[in-house]
Amino acid sequence: MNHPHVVAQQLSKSFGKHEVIRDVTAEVAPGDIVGVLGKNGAGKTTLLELMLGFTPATSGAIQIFGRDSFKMTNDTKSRVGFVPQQDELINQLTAHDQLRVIGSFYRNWDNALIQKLSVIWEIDLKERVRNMSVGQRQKLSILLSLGHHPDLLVLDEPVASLDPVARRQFLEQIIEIAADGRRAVVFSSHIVSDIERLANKIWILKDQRLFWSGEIDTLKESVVRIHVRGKGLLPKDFEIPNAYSFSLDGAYAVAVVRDWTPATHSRLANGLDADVEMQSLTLEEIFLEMHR
Amino acid sequence: MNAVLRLVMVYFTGARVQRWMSLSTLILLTFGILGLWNYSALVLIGPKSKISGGSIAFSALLVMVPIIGVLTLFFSAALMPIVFGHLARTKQLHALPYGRSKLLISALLVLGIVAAMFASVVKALYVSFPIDQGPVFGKAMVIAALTFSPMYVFLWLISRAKGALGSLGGAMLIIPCLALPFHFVQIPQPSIRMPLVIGAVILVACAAAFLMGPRWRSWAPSVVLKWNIPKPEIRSKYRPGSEFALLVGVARPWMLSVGLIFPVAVATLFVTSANIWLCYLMLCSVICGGISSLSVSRSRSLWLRGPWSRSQLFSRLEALHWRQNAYCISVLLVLLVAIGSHLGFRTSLLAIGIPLLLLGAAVGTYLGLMMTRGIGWLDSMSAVGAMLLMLVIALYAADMPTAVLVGLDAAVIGLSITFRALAQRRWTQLDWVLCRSAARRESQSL
Amino acid sequence: MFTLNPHSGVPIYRQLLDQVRRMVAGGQLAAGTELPSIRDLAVKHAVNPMTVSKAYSMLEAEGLLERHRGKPMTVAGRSRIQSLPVKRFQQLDPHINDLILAAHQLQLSQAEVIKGLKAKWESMDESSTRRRAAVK
Repeated sequence: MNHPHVVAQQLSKSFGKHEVIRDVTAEVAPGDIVGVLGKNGAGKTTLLELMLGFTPATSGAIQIFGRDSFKMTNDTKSRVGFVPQQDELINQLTAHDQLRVIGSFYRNWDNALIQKLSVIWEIDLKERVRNMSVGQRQKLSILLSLGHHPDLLVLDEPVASLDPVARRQFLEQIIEIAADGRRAVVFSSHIVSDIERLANKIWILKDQRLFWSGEIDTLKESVVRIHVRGKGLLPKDFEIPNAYSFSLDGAYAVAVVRDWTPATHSRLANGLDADVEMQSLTLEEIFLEMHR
Repeated sequence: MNAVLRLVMVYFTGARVQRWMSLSTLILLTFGILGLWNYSALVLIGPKSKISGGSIAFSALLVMVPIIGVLTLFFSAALMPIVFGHLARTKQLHALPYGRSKLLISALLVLGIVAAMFASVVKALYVSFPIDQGPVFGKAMVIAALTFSPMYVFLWLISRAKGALGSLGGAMLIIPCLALPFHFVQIPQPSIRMPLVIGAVILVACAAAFLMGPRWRSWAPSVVLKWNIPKPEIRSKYRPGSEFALLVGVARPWMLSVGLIFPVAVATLFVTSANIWLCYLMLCSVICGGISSLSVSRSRSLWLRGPWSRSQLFSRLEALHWRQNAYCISVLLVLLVAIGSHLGFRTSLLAIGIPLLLLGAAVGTYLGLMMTRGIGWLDSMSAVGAMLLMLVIALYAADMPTAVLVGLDAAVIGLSITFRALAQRRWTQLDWVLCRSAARRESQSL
Repeated sequence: MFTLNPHSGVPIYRQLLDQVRRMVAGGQLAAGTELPSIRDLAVKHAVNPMTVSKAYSMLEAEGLLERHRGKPMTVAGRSRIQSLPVKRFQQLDPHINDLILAAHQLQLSQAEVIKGLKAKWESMDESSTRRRAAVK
């Protein structure tokens, strides 16, 4: 099964005159954990909603398991799990009944897994949803999406209300899911450290475009901070191309560059009579630099 | 004082709907009051209408315009109970200087404005009558204050309603209550001493309780513990097979239909005319059908989890809502027969009533299902059109020739079929993101 | 067994690569030692299993690890382990880069740093010999 789970081609979405996403081309392959990053309003939720067929694309195409997402068939739907940003739980039911309601829609609902996770995650199944705290509700929402062992799990800010312990438990569960190499996970989050741990692919949405997409390792290796120390004053017109930010102060210059390679390093060092030092950046710093 | 005025401005202009309503109110009331003042002698009022000059249509217009103006005024300040209720429960209010008092004053000010406008209408209405003009304004103001304040409370209850039951019950409570002020004012010389005293006492008690709210909260828990008052909860037991209904929110159809009884009982206190009853019950059936609009956005999770395409979902939901309608219509029919026999309606009225209720439910259901992108102009126009047709049937059915009646019924049936076709077509392209953003835009009055 | 910091600038797979290479070169990972499975390592450190898999594959390509069907990967037991001092020295690269960077910022010359390094080295050797003598 080597076909990608999700394929987006030149996907665009506008609501009336308001353009939310423009020209997004990306893929989700089996075994991927994709982290979607972006400022508020950058279109993360809309992209996930397009992926699941809630709304039709304005132009371009998005396919899930080989079919147009807007017209998802039953087979496809049973392979997909979704955790929305605002939970859609029924307040009057107990957690147990809520699970049974959703579970009744799927043929392969795994009750044993649900029981096991509800114990580990400390969810009291007899408690009524209305009386649960925000964190408990979020955990329950996540649980609801796991029972049918979906091949594609889509999560929109799933851990915003969870404490660090609950978050770590959730991360471990995601890793278990992705470890078999056949299932994929796409999640958007503001907690960059979680994405840094979990994701092997990153999609960064900025200005309605897919500003950066690819492997996280490539991102970390190609976006770096360069320190340049000259023996004397550096030339006033000195500049480093392809930089997100650059500052020059006498004999010292610092820049954050994209597309860094060892070749560029040696070229820069040889071209100047200076010492060129490379410093790696965390994902959060990279994200901030991109938005400078 | 700034804060109070700003709050009052928010109540009247906070949302787009409110702004339009306030504008319409100003226009309607200006013309209405001026018209009444100048042509008061031409107006037909009172339990025994005497034609004192001028055509019926003109005098009807003279009366309707200011009445609609007052009603619009009431609703244009509809944000008041919502904002009041919201702010009253916030922790923010503690921190604002004189927060509680200013909030209270702003609410009372709105009540005063609405009551004063109502009283102006009444004054203009009676200006050429041979009665003592002195107390007219004052009495009208008191009546308005006494009747409008509980209605704002009902409005607040509706806004807090989380689901079909609450919204429905609240809406149906308000509709007959809107007639209350006008009903009491029809009798020109009621003694208002008693109601005034009672009203004043209640108002002062509520105001005091509100202002001392924080102190209440500190010793209330100990009181509650001593008396061990259990909170009434709505519990749902899950029965396999009802997942669909649960997710959509209509899992307890009998509860909704039984809930109809209370507002109808309230209405029996002062509605006696057969035609008005038909109108009211028809409105009830429309609202019952109209809760289908809630299921549009809720169907998203059904679609994702179940094997139905959007069109198939439409058919299933249609069936589900008709099941709900069946319960409601039966209850309404029973009520119609009971009230009809109690008040001595003609049996021909019942014969008109049955199809009317069915039509009302149909119109309501399909209008609700049509709202896939919030409420557009086309939707509201067609809704208004259908409602007007049905109102005409309800009010004048007994007096019109059978052919006309059948024709009107057929027209409404045709409209229902059109609505259904429109809803069905819209559902094939249902976009849940648009649906949600429209709903959010409409509720973004705060 | 390993220390993985997902939040450093260095990608996780590279951290794992460096650590395994260093431990094999230094002898802490003897030939034939079993390494944790991809899933176990990923769950324990809460990192992406594909990252671990990538590191393991690269180490296998380098000849440091051996894959066995159905069983965890093991350290290769061959003379490949006897890497050149140059290769072992390369493990110090990140630390030396940091040292040089800090020295520049403190405006210390190369000679000063080397002198200080020697002094520190000798003092550490001395104290560890003294400790071993005390234990005996």
